[in-house]
Amino acid sequence: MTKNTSAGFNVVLPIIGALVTDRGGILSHAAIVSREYGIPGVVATKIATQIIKDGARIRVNGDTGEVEIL
Amino acid sequence: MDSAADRPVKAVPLAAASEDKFYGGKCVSLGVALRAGLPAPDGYALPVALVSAIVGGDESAAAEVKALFEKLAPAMAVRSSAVGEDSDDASFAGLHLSVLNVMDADSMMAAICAVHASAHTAEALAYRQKMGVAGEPAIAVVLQQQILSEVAGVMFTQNPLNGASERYIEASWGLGEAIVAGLVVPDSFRLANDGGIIQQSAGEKDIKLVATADGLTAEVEVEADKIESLCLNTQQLQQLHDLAAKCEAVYGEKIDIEWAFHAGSLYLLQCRSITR
Repeated sequence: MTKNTSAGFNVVLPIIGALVTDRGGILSHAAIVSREYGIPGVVATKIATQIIKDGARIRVNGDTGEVEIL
Repeated sequence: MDSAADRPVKAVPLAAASEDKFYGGKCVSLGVALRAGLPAPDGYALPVALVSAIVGGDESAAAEVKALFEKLAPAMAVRSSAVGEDSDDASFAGLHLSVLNVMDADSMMAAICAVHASAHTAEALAYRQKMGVAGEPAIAVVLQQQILSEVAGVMFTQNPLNGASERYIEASWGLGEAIVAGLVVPDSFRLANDGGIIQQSAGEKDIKLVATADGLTAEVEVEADKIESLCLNTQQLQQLHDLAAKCEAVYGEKIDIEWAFHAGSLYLLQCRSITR
């Protein structure tokens, strides 16, 4: 869960289960690499980093763009 | 394997860059655009061997390239053009550095070295390994006139979410790198293949990347009334639709276009195949 991603994230992408960002579009770095790495990704939520606490369990659906706090 | 004697070691105008193994994908793609009369800014292609010579401290190679600055003044973009980059399976999105709004020859030379170094970082090597790209990175460089855009963005000729054949556009104020880097939530537009607007939705563009007077770029705040208002009008969407059609005629279907508007004109900054 991050405001946006840069290339620095490529090092951790292989070990994360999903990617949720506040900003970016479906043509931005975060969206492109989550597609290429086969990781569910939801971008441009605007508020994810404010309302999801560190360590929270969430379910991410990259097809529908839904993020659910469990 | 080519013998060393066959490898080009001189800078050439972008329109003359034609072989991926020497000039990398971005130079070759821009060469195709310029030869086809597409509105790409002009510039030079520095082949892999020349970039290696400059990074290795070859003074005569450096002097020759430094002299090119005057031809692209007052401002240029220095971009990577990796051999094997932007293949059908791997975008190398955001990995290889671009240095924008370079305004003097010394900064240009430093930018060339920085672009070369960016292909050898831990992030770049991790990505190459993940995507199964073999071998050492080979980096050529694009030197290109800088377009100081008021509005810029990206356009796919296929919807990246569902694969539908349509124009999918994302746009924001200032330089287009703000979108690629995810600094903003861009406006998004979907056009049918006949140019008709299917959907348009305003983003949240509170930051823009602009050129500064002394070179390079800065993030500045966007005026309050422009943050959530659409940054492209119907006429500009029509120009983008026309550009997409022209690019498809040259490059084929399923392409990814980076574009920029400056003073009423639309420029093509980059065009490539969409990765998986």
